[in-house]
Amino acid sequence: MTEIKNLETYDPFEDVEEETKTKTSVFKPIHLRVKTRRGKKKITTIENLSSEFDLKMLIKVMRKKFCCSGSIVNDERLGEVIQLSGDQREAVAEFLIEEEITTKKGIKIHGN
Amino acid sequence: MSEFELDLPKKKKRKKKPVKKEQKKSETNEEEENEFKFELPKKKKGRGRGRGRGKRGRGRGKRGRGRGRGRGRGRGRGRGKTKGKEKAKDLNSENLNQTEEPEIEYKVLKSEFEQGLKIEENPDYEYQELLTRFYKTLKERNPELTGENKFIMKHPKVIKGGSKKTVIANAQELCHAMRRRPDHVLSYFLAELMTTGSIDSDGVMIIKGVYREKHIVPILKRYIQTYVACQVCNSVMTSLIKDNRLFFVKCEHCDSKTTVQGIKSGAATNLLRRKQKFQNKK
Repeated sequence: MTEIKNLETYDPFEDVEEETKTKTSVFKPIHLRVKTRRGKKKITTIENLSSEFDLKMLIKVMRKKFCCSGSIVNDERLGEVIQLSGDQREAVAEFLIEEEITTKKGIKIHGN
Repeated sequence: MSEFELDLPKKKKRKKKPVKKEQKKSETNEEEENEFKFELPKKKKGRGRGRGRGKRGRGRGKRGRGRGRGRGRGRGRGRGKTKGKEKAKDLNSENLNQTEEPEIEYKVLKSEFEQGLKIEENPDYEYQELLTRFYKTLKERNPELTGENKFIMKHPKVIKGGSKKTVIANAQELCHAMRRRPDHVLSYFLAELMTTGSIDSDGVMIIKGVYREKHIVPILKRYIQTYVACQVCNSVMTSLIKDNRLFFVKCEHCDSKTTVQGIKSGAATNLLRRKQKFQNKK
């Protein structure tokens, strides 16, 4: 009996490389929102950052660059969320694109 | 003897009724010559001659009329002149004594619109006149078929409702024009602005926080782009349908369905509520 090829196991995804980080983040885009706290003061929240990154290091760098305070908060349904003081949506967007964490399509800005 | 020297403006040459005009001019000139004798000053057409400023006159640039405007005007004038001359030549050949126009008996009922436009009995239409007339009728009777598919929406009336609150007075009209429920629109606004709000019985939206028209108009635009406009044909005649826990935007113009995500609110609102709960318990 010759070997029946149909019964052999064949993995069609052998040649395909592993998905890069950018692709996963496009399907789960990063949301940037702003909330007003007391009159002029505002908070920006960053959601959906994948847990592969070291969030503590990210916060350190962002705090130094933007001269603001930040913290990580655990949310039930959204996971870990970064909070920064002030309205820094555009600055964060530029920062994420420079560091090649996401592309332009993977960011969604809400608010004014 | 010329007692008066008046500077009359030149009569604009109309191209509709060339026959009548020449008669009028000839008649009036004869009459005027009998009564008054005054000379019309000749307008010197030319570039700067007689004004003492140079070849081109009035400090113009190379192209004759300053800053690149000579091209368009030059061409337009050129065409007009030639047309008038041609018509004058043709009419000179015909007998001008035939001034009486043949009486046309109209038995066809003129529509109300045509009566308004005052179509003359001896028409000698040009292309542009017919075009404008065509588009006027189209706009009045079939506005859908015109190429202008712009969706013109009213601006939202944003008013200050006391300190720390804003009021959108137009909310019901806007939702009716977009064919969406005001609940859906409200939830989108609140998710984008991360605040709380409600709808009154009159259809008035109240949002917590101080916002102005410039803040709210881009949010409205985004709402229309995602939830109202069809992504295939860009028309606004759409409706929201829920099917198997999915939201669809169905277009009436092109009969296409596209899925749309539901409205998700952000995280901070939940966090603040938790803090308030803990504070209240203490």
